[in-house]
Amino acid sequence: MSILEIKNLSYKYGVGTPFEIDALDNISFSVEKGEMVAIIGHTGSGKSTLIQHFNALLKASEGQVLLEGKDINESRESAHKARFRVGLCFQYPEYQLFESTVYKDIAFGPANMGLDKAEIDRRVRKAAEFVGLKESMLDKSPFDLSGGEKRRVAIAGVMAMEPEVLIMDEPAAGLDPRGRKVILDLIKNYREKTGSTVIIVSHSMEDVASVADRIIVLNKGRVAFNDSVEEVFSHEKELREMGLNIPQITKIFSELRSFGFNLSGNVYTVDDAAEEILRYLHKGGN
Amino acid sequence: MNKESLIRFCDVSYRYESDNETPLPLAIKNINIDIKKGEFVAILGHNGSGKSTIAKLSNAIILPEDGKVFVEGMDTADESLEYEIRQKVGVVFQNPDNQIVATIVEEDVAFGPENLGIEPKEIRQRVDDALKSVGMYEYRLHEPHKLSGGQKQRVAIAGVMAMQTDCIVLDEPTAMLDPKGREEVMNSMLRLNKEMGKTVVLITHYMDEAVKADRVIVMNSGNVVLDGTPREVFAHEDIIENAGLELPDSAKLALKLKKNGVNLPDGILTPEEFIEGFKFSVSGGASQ
Repeated sequence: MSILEIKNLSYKYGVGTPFEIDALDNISFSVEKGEMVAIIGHTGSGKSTLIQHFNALLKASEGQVLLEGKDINESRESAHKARFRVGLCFQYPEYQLFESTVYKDIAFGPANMGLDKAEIDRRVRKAAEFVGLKESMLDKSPFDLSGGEKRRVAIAGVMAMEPEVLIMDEPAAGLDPRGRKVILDLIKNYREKTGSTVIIVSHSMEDVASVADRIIVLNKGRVAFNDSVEEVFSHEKELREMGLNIPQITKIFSELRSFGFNLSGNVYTVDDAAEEILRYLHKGGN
Repeated sequence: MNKESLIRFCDVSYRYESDNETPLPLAIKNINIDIKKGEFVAILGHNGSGKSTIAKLSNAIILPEDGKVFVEGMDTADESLEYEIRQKVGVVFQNPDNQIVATIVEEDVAFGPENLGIEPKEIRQRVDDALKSVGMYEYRLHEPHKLSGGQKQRVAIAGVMAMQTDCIVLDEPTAMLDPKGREEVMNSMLRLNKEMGKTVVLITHYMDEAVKADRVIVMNSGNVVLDGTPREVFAHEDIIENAGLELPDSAKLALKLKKNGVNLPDGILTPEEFIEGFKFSVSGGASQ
């Protein structure tokens, strides 16, 4: 059974006003346990609206969100539980830090779950370790940290709820290349160690290619593609028409192939690309 | 090209105010930068390296703790020149939603010149010209909040253009945009520079944007560590990586292959250069 299933979900903004608009239009897909899925789409394609349905922050105008087969909007209680089972980390989450210490900020989610002190403590320390925050930082004010560190505190706060599904909206936006890599590595690491399901929303085709098993492309509130990285990035023309793109490296390879070089199309990162070119040259250019 | 100085940083240091007794470290340290008229300069650096501080110092939003910033020879610390300085240098920030003030696109663009007390007829002309220069003229009667991120950012740029500044400083204008939005904003900046002769200072985390500049400045922990053409700057892989940055993907790939004995030309930075270099080296029967 899929951990998360979205069934014929539609959402309208401004119902009953002249400005009524279909933000999401009949969306269906499912996510398997332990999968890393990326959602991409142009600004305004409905990505952020969609993920807010996954933990009942928004209620669909039509359709259902099933968590392990059960509709999360079945009762107030199930909707409340979904908040903890599905952890949502918003864009620029560091703006939501508010406590006086890093420790208290990370503990805020678990404390709201009604856990006992010892369990909260265990979770705070574990989450802090996951995101690479030193023990000595836990007593500091989050506002004395650098931008990248603040972001990691905010992410730790969601991880400490130990959600079955972790959703991250643009986790690396606004960070420098090293900061991006740190965040992406920690998400990969978290998923490997905990077996959690991770959904990542991103505008960076490079980041998506380096972490995801599968890509869901949203376009004007509809699912345009739902397929492997390889399949989705083979549609350069359609993606460009949707305001998206393919990774720079993939573009280089598609161009080289058009000049008759017999190179693989399944290349998204610099490392893959170097390997493939060396293989090609080694075989004497065939 | 005219090599007259437009913005000059002379031994500039700056420190943000601390909210307790211990002072914060210097955000930028004894910096010297001379931005010439007509240049397209990209400023790169890790988060907290001092890039945004440079943007804010460049039109007297903040003033140096030590040293001087001159805009066309005018000292930014001289309060009486503040208006004149802001008419020379305009700044566009990262988040388009934080800098749009009106409910109609053309009113938003008119906000700057209105505040300068310019004649209505002249404002009309400036707003139309500015919107045309960023390709947003057809949207002049639209509501800004219904535009895409890239469109909003271009409206923000038009707002600065309508003030007819000679120089536009953009602080990570594409950080929140999708690929198409990034391309639109980048093309607008290039057009302002190449066709209209505006000086552009682009602060960015994207190496592929920096490659399109005439000149790249790299900051690390408040210091300028590299300053030169993209080719000169990206030749220093170690300094770039030490600064928390990376080479553009095409350059990384070329370097990796060269280390494995593939014969490619030096200084590859863009996909086009990589493809040309690869075709030449492989088809030309160069050694492997």
